[in-house]
Amino acid sequence: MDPLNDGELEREIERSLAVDPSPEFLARVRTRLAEEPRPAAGRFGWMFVGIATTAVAAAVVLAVFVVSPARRPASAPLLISRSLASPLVVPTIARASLDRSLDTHDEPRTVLVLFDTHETLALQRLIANVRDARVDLTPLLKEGPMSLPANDDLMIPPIVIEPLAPSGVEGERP
Amino acid sequence: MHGFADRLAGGIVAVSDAALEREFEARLVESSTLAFRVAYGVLHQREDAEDVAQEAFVKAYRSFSQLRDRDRFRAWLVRMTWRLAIDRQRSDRRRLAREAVTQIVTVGDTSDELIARERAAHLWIAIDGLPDKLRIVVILAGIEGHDTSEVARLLDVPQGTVKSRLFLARQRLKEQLQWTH
Repeated sequence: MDPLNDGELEREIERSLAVDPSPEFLARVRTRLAEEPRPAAGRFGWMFVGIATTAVAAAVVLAVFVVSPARRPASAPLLISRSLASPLVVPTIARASLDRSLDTHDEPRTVLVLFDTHETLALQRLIANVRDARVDLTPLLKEGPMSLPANDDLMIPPIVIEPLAPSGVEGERP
Repeated sequence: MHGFADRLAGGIVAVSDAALEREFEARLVESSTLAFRVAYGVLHQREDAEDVAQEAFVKAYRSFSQLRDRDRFRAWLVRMTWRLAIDRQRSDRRRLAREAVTQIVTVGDTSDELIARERAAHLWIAIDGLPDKLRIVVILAGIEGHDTSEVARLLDVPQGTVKSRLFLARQRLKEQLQWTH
């Protein structure tokens, strides 16, 4: 029994590990990989969708806040919701205490009135169509005001409330 | 506009996929023997080693697009193969022991072949008895003549660590292996 030196041990280990895979190994791996879904496609697809969404959002923000700064009021406006049923008059609201707290500039305060978007669009379209002669309103104007049905038929009978008639002596259970 | 975006996205994906496929194929060819030998160093069975190496390649394929540093592929593959092989060995240790015995004593072997097989079996038993940290260093250093710098790169540890572990491992192996020449 000779003691084993480093060189011999190294060679012995290398010899034991000098085993090659079978010739079919690579083909088998390729076949197995062909059965795998391609994860890269989904990843890049989602990445692209994410980038596109972010870009669109950034463009919208840019358009609103940077490209058209003139549309932005100089100071914080008072937001008041109004229905179209009321006259289209921009109200001047005297809110002295609030104005004092918000007023940091000398420029006049603008008051924004919010309308329903659909109603606004419908009115704008109607006005534009009338102006462009696409809608003719003369028949309506000739007819005069629309006649409403008489409300005589609407009869509401008076409500009669009968007083409660206790059957026994008060405080006793019947 | 939407259709254009879809086509653009599809084009990018197709080009990326094709490039990834080609790159992975190149890695597969250059690293298949390495992965097989790492697995063989643990399992000592060709079929089992091929199964484990194949499994490692499948895992690598699934995550290949997420590998930021492609130059680290071999190290990544080695560690993955090692873990899979160790798991397989631990879950199937009794079967491997039985097959190792049948491999050593095979009817019809000449005496030289028998001695060589017996020596290899003793060597594997000694290597298997090493702690994992020493064992992987011995196996990687024994594959394709890897030097300590290559082993350090594969294991992502300093070269000095590899040298000290290799020295310690060889000392232990020499204590156990005393065979005639």
